[in-house]
Amino acid sequence: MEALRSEWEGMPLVVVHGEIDHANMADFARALEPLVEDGAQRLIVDLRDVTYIDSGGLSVIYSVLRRLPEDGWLGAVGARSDVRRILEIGGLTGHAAFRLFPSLDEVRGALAS
Amino acid sequence: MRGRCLTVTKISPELDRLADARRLVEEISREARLDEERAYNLKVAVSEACANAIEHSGSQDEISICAWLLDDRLLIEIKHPGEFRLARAGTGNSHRGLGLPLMVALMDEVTINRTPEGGTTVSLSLFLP
Repeated sequence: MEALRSEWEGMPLVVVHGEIDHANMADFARALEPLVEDGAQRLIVDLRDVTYIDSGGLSVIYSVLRRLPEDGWLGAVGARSDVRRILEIGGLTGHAAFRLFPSLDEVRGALAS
Repeated sequence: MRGRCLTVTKISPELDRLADARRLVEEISREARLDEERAYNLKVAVSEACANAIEHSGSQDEISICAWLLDDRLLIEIKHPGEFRLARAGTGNSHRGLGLPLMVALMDEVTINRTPEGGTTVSLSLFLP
């Protein structure tokens, strides 16, 4: 797994490649947690190239969501259908601070409204 | 058991070996002709069961993964000499317990047995038409 930090429209963007599992979930956490610690209100995680996620990745995301400020959110972009299924079964899609977007275009749309 | 044993594979109890377990499940899924969705679900469930053994059982022994194609199901058994535990004390992260619920949600049947020797067998079943 690779997690690369970047920026998009003034928001922190993390682009993740590969499989997120219990072996590398700490690396995934290390890519996201500093952003929250630095005070990010919203962050985008690009999951287009993520081929696998399980409870390890889910728990990292939950941990980040818990630490976001009120009204903050984490936007997951481009999740493949298998990955999306795990995010749903894991309860993330029902979480107020978690947003699922097919692409960055939809994020732009959400920010505009 | 009446059926065909597809594989008996051992992996050492290290988290880096989880990827090997997933590649093994991909092969098993191909041989059992699972559709993409069930194949992915099986990959997650097996990876979760192995991760649980590695992270929480305290066992240093190898984990064995046995796959059986039975009359009515694909059965994967994950066996290790340690105990089944939900989490280590003091992990401090309330969402660490998602592995078992995920296994149960993704599989048609999950059983967890304590073997007479004190070890654990996690059995994952996908019913076949």
